[in-house]
Amino acid sequence: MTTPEQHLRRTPLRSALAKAGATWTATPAGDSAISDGLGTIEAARHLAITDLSPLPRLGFKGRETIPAMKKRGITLEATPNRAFRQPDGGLCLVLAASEVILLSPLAGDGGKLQELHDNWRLDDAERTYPMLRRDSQAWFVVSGAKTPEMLAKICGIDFRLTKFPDLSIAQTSVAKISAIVTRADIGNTPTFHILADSASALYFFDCLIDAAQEFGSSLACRTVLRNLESG
Amino acid sequence: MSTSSTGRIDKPGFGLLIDRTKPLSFTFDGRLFNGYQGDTIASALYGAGQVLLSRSFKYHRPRGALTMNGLDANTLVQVADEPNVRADLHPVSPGLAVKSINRLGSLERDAFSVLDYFGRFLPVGFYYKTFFRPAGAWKYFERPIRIMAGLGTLDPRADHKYYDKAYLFTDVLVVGGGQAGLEAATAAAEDGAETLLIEENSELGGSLLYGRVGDSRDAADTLRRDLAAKARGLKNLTILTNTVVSGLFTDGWAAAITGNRLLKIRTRQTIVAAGSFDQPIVFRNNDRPGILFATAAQRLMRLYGVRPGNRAVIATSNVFGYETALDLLDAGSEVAAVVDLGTTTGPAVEAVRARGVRIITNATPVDAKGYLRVESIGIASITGQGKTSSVTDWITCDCVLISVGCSPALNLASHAGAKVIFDPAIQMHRAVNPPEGVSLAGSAAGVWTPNLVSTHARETGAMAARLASGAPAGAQPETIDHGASAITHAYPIFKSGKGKEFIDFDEDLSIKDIINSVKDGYDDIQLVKRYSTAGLGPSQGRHANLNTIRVVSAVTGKPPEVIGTTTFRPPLVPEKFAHMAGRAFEPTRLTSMHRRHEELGAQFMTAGLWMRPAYYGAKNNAARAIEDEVRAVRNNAGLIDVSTLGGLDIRGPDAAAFIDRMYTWAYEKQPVGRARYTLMTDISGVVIDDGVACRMAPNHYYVTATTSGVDQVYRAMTWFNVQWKMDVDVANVTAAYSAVNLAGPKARDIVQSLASDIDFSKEAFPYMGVRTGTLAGIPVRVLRVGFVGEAGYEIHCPASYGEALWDILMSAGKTHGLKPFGVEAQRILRLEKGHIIVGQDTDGLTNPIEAGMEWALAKKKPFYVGKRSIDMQAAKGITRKLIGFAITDSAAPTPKDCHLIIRNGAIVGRITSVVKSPTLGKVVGLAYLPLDMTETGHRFEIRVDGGTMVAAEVVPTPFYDPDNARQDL
Repeated sequence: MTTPEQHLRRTPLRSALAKAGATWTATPAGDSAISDGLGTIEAARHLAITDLSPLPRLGFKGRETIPAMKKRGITLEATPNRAFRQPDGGLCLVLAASEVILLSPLAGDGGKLQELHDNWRLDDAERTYPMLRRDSQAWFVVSGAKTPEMLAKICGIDFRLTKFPDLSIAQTSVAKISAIVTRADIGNTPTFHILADSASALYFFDCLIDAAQEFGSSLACRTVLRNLESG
Repeated sequence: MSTSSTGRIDKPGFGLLIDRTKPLSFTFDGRLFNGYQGDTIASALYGAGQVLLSRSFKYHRPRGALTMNGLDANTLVQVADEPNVRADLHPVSPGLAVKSINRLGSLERDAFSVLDYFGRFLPVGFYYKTFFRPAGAWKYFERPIRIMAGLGTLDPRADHKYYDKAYLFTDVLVVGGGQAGLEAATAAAEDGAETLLIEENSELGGSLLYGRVGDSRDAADTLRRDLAAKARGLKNLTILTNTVVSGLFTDGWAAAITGNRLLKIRTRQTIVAAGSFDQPIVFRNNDRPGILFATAAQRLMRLYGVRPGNRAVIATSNVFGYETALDLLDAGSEVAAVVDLGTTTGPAVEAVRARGVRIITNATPVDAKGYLRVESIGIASITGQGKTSSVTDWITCDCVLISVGCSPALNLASHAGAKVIFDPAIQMHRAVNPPEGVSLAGSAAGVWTPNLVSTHARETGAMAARLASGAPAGAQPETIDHGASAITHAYPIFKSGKGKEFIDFDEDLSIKDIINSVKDGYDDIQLVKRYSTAGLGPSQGRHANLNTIRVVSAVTGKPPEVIGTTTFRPPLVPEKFAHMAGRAFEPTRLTSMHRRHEELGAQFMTAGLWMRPAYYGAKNNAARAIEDEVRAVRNNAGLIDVSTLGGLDIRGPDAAAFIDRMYTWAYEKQPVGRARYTLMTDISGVVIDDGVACRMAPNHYYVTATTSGVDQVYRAMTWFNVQWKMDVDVANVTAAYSAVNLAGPKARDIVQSLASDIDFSKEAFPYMGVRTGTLAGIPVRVLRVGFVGEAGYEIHCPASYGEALWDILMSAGKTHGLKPFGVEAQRILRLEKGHIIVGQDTDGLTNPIEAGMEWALAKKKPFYVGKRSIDMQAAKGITRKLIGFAITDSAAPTPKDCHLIIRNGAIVGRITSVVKSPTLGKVVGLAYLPLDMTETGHRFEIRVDGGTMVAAEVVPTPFYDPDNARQDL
């Protein structure tokens, strides 16, 4: 057990999650606290919202980003709006030929993303530049069979499972703010990762909760998603 | 009387939608009524004998249900705070309080009904000719007219209700869940298309719910059950009932209303199977309560088990009227007569005749007696188009059921772009040339005969499925149905010598009104509509358009197909503003330190989408709180959250050259580790933003921008970067960084008390220096800048560390008298220092020379955005200049921002910022003045609230610390 205040990095949702009854555990890297004790695996299969904002993520942007990432051993192709699963369980989101976002696996990435950031040198003139996506964007996961129906209340994209296949990405507007929506199922459970402006995180969280209410949704946590992952 | 005991039908096959085991009570105009679960307000009232529902719009004539399907204005009632509720659609519930509308006194004794006797003073278009003379007369007419002609009442205190919107996606959308819609949807789904079937009623079936197939009620019921069961069994067919499609637009976009939700539907193919609208007979007093469409009576009987009357007369020109007679007989009602406008033939006619019902052919109703409910009907022989003998017979009755034809529901097809034409062969309209992706089925397509409906609809559904999947359309379904010509009477309009024969019930328009519109010169159908208001009421002409066209045709001598038709426009059904507004999405941005500000009692103000602390403390002590914050900064130290400031990372080999082109000053030779003021102008030389450019590395600038300007700056940078093709990457990192400004004489002591790898000494970290490192374990970018005119540090850190940074600095500053300060104090502090705020001290036309920013213009650079315009303005000369001023009389009222400067009675300038400075003990500000008034010491006058003139004097800026000694401490 820990508290968010014991760490220098804090999720923008901590007050809302605490109000919902969250407990806290340290992230695998130990640099932040992540919500725990929320939701069930059944709820996650039906419809549940999880905050993964405390987990590492990092972006790279620049005209030579794709080759630079390949050089670093990232699994990806130069196909915009496609996500690629990494051997460690993380995700690489290719937003454009010049931009990617790397998401940590649920289990943590062993400092790999931090290492990528720290080892980057401007002087190497690779034409790829790191972006602090962990700070600029909150990371939500909306999981469960009802997710497309729920997202249809706040976004104009057709997220039906037959039309928006696994590993698709939509860079769009959700509840009137810019968001990157990636479908990356956990096992058989439809799972949508949503990256949205961290400064608007509380507003966005309210919108998600509100949209999900009619489906009897609940909040979930990383532990539940990990249980989902392990089947 | 309006409350005769029509009662309920207690027989099998009647009352499909009601649950007789669940009685309930509700009130209408305060009187208690009983109904059943499943009843609508109108059916329950009718079942309890209350046929009178409303008063008409203009003449306040008594009105009752007409369609029992939400298609007329007669059933509009008020339910609690909700006006204009359609009583024939709205379900009753226990305790529901319903009120009639548009009356003075009781519904039965409406005092405004006297208007009915003054009809000749209210001719068609009277509102275009009256009430505007003499000038100003309208305001005396408006209120009484609005009271007399209003519908429901809006309650401004009504509770906010939850409405929202949702998208829906489908391959094939089928509008209408009647026989045609069910067949089409089933066929489309069976052919593999994801199909959405939308039905406005609670049950599927359309006219199969109450009508007959081949004069058999059982056949209709069996067909309905079979079709509905089959449709419900298909996994790729989604069925939405109680939902109405209100508009069909290009690119497969349809709007639908379901409860409190607006559905925004995206579809590849749409099949409109929306059925058709009944048409009335136009004769004297044809609007009396108890005169209703035959289908309305069938709905009352079959859906709600309500008897339309004890003794009915049916006026018809088709088999549907005879089928209704059979229904009435089966329900145990007496049918006094069937009045046939022609000589209809068929099994239903023979069946009615066989049951001993009097049939009067080539005759029509021409008059009705009874006021609150029809009591008898006058019958006359038809002698020609619209012509009759005198009344040959008065038949006593308590209801008259009309079935003389239909008008296909072509509204949606028309919304989408189909052309609507009149087909004289069937005396109805047809849709031709529907746009790609739209087709029609059932009576909307002109197909009426049940077996043809089935074949045509199934073929239409299959074709839509093929098209949705990208396959060729294949053969077009055959739409010729010879049976359609026996449905609609060509001219069911019979003018009487006196009294009113209504064409448009909503707007109280009679035959004479349409004739007079044409006589007044408005002989085009579009002009008739606008001049007479025919079709402009809540029914949108469903029951008025066709007869209006017929009358215009008769008066002008042009056939209906030449007259044309008016344009159908969305919405098809009334949409509430709440539906269009939906759930309010109002994004709000909070800094990572927001919670701390709340805990400290901050009063917030908005800055774009951001919430920023204006000051800390109670609202009733704002001035004192702000002064205290100013003093803390001047005397000790203050901490302000500046996370909302824009931040841009400019990285790449061309970073310096890029910055040099974007901003007015010179940056290529700026040393690493130094910040420099930035001023951005647009191509016309107007000041649009400012900030500082920090050179973090030879190929990396971190540029700040104003809170409200950063998006514009980023947009401009990315735009020009594409134009110039420079080797540089522009990233908006505003949300990635939080920032605070720690300012005041104790600022250095505070940061030096924290663990850091940055040397904060004056020598190592001079004014306008920039450093990166860590502060108390937090990675930071530190800028030594001085917007508030004191020594200070702008400390930027990754946003997720923001709250921790605030906590650490507040804790470290406790012993140094550190106080948080808000935007209000910052505005005072910066103004004391004479710093401008772009957007407040500049406007949409201000160039840098006017704003006194010549010093920020690089003279030797060959180019920056706006340079050419600024050079031209400089050569031409400016006419105004931003100056500092002070109020000379300490007792004078303090001017406000935007107060005007007056010389010889003329406006010559305006104040942009003004403040009563706690530090200086006087009022100072910035203002634009003509050049001949800008000399230091020049005196001028400001007009303040109430017109008082306040004397001021031009003084040099900065007002505070003119030698800049304090920020360089």
